[in-house]
Amino acid sequence: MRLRLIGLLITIGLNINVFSQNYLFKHFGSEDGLNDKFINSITQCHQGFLWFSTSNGLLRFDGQQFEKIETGLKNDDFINASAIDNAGNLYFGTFSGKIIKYIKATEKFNIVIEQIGGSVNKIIQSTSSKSFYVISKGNGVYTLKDNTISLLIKTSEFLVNDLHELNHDYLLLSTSDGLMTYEIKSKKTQVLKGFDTESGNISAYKNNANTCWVNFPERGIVKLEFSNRQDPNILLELNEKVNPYFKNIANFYLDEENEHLFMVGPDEKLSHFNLKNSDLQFFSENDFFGSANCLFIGRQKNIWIGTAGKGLYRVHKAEFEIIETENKPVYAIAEDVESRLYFGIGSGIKITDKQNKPIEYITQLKNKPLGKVTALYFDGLNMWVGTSNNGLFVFNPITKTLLTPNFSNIKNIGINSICGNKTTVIVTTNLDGVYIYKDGILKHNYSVKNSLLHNNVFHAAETKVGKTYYATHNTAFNYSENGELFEINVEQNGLITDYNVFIQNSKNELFVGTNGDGIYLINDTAIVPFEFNSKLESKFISGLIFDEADNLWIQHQYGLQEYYPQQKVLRKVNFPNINQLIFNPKAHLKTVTGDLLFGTSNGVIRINNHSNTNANNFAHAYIKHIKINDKTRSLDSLFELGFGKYKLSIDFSAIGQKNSENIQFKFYLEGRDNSWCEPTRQKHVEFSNLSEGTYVFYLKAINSDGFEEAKTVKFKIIIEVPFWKKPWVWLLAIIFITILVVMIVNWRTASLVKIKLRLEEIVDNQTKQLRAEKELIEQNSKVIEEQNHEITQSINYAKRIQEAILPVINIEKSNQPELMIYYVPKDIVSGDFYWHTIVNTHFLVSACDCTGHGVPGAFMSLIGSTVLNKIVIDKGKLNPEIILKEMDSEISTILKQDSNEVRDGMETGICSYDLTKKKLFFAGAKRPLWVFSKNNNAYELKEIAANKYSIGGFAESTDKIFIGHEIEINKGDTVYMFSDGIIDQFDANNKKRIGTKRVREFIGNIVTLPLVEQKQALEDFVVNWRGQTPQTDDILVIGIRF
Amino acid sequence: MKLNKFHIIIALFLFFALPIVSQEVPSSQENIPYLVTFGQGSDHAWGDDDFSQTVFFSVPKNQSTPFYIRVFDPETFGELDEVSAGWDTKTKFSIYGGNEAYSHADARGVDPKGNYKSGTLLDTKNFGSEASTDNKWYTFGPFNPMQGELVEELGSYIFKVVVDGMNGNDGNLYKLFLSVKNSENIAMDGANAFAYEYSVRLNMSANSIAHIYPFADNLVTAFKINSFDFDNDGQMKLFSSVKNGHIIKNSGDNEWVLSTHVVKPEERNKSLDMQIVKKGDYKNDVVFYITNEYDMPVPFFAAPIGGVPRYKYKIKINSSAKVREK
Repeated sequence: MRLRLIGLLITIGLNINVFSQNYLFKHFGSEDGLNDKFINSITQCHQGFLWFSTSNGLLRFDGQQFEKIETGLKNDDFINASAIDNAGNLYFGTFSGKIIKYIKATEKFNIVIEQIGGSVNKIIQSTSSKSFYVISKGNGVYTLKDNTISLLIKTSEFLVNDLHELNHDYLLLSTSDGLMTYEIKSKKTQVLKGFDTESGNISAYKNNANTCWVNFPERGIVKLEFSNRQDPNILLELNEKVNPYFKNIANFYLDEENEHLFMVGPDEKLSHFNLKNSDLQFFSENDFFGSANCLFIGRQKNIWIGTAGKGLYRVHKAEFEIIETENKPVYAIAEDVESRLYFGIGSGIKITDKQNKPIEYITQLKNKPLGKVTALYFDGLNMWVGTSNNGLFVFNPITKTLLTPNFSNIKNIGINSICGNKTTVIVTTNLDGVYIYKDGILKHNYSVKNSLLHNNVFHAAETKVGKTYYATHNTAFNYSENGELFEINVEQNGLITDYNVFIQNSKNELFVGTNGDGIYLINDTAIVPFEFNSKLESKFISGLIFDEADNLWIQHQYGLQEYYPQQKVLRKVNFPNINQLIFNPKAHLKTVTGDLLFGTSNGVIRINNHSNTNANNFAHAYIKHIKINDKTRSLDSLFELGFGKYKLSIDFSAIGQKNSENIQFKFYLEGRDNSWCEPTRQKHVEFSNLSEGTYVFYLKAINSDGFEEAKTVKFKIIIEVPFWKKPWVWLLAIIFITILVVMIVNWRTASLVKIKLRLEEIVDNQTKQLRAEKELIEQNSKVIEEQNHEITQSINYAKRIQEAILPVINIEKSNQPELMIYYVPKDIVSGDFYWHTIVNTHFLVSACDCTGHGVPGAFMSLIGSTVLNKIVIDKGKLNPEIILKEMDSEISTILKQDSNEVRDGMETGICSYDLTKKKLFFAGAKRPLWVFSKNNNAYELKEIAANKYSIGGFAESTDKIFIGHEIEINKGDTVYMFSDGIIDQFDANNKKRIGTKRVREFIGNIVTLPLVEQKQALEDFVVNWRGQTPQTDDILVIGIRF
Repeated sequence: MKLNKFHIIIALFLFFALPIVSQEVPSSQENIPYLVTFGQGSDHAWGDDDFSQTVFFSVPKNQSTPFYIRVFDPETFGELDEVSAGWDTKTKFSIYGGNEAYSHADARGVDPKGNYKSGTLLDTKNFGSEASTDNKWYTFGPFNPMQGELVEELGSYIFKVVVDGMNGNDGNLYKLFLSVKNSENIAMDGANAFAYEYSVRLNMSANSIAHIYPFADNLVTAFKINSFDFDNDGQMKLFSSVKNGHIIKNSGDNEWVLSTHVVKPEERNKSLDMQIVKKGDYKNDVVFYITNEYDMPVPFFAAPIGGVPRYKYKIKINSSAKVREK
């Protein structure tokens, strides 16, 4: 009881401060995918998913999307309570009294308990972790172990609102009838004296089971310690005397780690009570939410509030807050032993209490105006104040007394920085180097006079190894050790002109921020560029500070960046909704609570100690759907597919509860890609035309700060090689082909042998047949030869007859014309013949070309010659046209052409020269006469055309009219008659005839020659023309020279 | 659950008569100021036959926002309540939903017998003689409509409020309200309230008229009206479209009296109006329930289904009058 009284006294003595929030709210409703306004329970599984049970089903939330999970429950049932076991399996209790279990390994639901007799309102894991307590408000408390439920406490007269396991022997029951203990052994329930009013939920300390907070709606929230089961000590009571708000609290949650209570009060508003400093913080009216069904703090330190009818709220601590300084720039910051904050501004120092409430504003000390305060340093007892123009001041913040050592020597110069340790304070100035305060004396230690590189010393930093570094306006820098000043000149290609700030981390690594060349790491032998210099938004570094987690915070003109050395990540620190924030050089401080303060152009930014958040807030990628050839497949780590072409579609997301909309992904498909893709926000990827092979899909998430999760999500796809590409198939194929080739060869050989034999047989037969035929041919040939011989003999004989009938050219008289006859039969006997006679004074010559040649032609020539003799000699007809007319008549008569089909005849020309009158008469049946008249020594050709009728043949004789010509002949004139044999003769290539023109030209050329020579010339001409080509027709040319 | 045509008719009325807005019990239309429940130690002659009261609230099926059940003056203390010999009475208010909260036959009985507390207990609270709630509203909830028993035939979720007098012998006078807000009474559109037995405090003033609206389904042929401890304090009458003040037998002190009335076809599927005209100007706590001819309880609604019945006068025109007109 004594302790309880102390607790009450503490309670009464609490100083409740209310100040503005630094928590951010986010409401989730139907527009975010929340399917109901009633959130009944919240839990978080090991993977990081948050599970929300609503009246409309179970939702899983990855930080970005709500996904409804099918539980198998009927529509009229819904989940009221949830819990998780150490193996990661989830348990859900329903309104109708069912308990279903979500098995992590299979991701399937099992109904564990069909009905407990009432609704399940809460499931609480026992400290032994082997069982659960199941609260059914109207029925009592059950224990659930190994999927078996048993009634532990039967209650019919009161409701059990909550339960806490004090230890294995006792349970603390919060009921509608008050706070009770339940002894498990004796099964006795006892209402605790003094706590017999309705109690709500209990929130206990994890590592101290006997201490917990209990909500008594009509009384307040009470912190109890159960050293005695029946008489707990009240350690703290937050009741309406402390603040009216604490009465009728509907729900609360203890954030043990941060020692905060989050409460939903009677006005349905969230409040936040800091147990460390008794600050009660209400959230603004805009952050309204309704009755809280459940409060939950996730691993990412977000506070989740499930409401009855107003959806879901997420509350998280803002990464930063602004401490207002009435829009005054802050150039220096310090904190005293009572956690008061000192802000150096343009006209002095503003002091706030630990809740950031302004408490004092100092513009002058001992009647001396401070002006712009550029440096502040608290040495544990006194506050050191450096100004821009008015020198150095030191005062005791408690007593406000001014320390007055002899500072007159630096009273009119600017102070750049102040730092120190328990015994020493180092002051750097803008004009006069470095001053060191030790043993009550401020001594001007270093300046250009004793080798300090520059008297404008921006900053000094004492290291833990006894060295003090000085940042000056120089390409080199100094450090002092044991009172001696050293110089380090590190050439960096002339890039560094100012060393601005030094800072050392817990590993004694020294970093220097430069003016224009980023950050360097200094060790004993070298100065090494900071590996992320290229990623700095500015290389003009104005401040460096390490936080509790040894992360480096970098100030520059573009803001603030944070470097996580362990994760090798450099991130930009964003300050939403704040414009044009300039971070003043070296205006920063790490408070005793680990928060970082930065002086800016517009107040002070407080970065909450976030060692537990950012770096650990990894996003965890997971795969939502896998489609192979557009068919959804159950998630698996291995897919074995038959051979073929495949399209792989993957939907993925990430579990991340911080700035989840900025989570990025990278992935690659081993077997197809060579490297990871560039980070992307897309959550879907497709790979087409995947053929045989092994593929492994890797996926990683990168959170909004750039942290990449170490673990990789992956699954493998094996696409079977088509059987025809498998080695054994190749082997079989080779064997098969070999066998096939051998078989084909053998078959072909056999076939060839067969063919050969058959051919041999055929050849034999044919040989025999040929021999027989040869013999027959030889016999026939012999016969033919004999017959030919006989025929030839006969024809030769006929030739003699024909030659006999041809006239003998014997020109005896000088008045008779000279004759030249070029006569070459094609065969032995000829169809052409010439005829000549002299009757009285007429010298008659005829050249005849009978139809056909050879024997038929010879017959015709005999008839022609006979007819001519008959007409000219017997009948005395000398007129050529009459001769022709009668010849035609005679031959038609002889050949009986009027009564049969014999159409043979002849073409002929007849010259009749009147020796006396020296006149030449000519008539031609289709044969012309060429007359070369001698004119002086030249000859002129005149062609006498023939009649168009031949002798004999087709037309009736009566129809034929032969016209004769009388030609004047002079001495030396030469005329020519000829058959068409010479004209039709083909050349050596058997393509071109000699033709009339060519013959005419040739005769024109030889006409001057004696006829004997002309004959020879004609013979040569014809022989040369035809070459080896056989003679095509009988040739007859008659030349007559007068 | 055995459902009959009654449910269907009620559902039709609930559907077509929307918005029915009367979730106050007793309602202003009933002109009954308070329900009353005495402690178990009191004498029935005080006007409570069983020290228990059950009221049902119907919440439309499509209701998606939370609601609250509010109790006015839930404790037994102060001017409003009936003290016997010092405030020593506790009253337990329990709210039930879930399966069988309504459909269990015992839930719809007129006596607290059997499993009349059927269903899922959603909330409960004992009130004693604390002054903090005197003359004030106490709020249960919020409740999710889906926590009620869904009676598809009624198109509603049904919630049950059971008020049990516990120890003590004082009388607890109170009112109930189904509200969509926790800090004030704002009725829910389409909701209604009904009971099968009423233990009520009548208005003190003489000639005041209280109403009870029993619903006659399409099969009922008779109403058996039971009253307890009316103390012959006035007159009770039954009105409908065809009944113009049928006299209901009065009960005297600490006695049940049965009064049977034929229900005509014209009265079926409608509410009747049972009027209690008070004679004296003193406190009187009375119990009523009505059954049909098979002794099955008949519900009476805070807002009468089909509206308040009005007697339809019949004008007879005889033949002689017609002759005269001619």
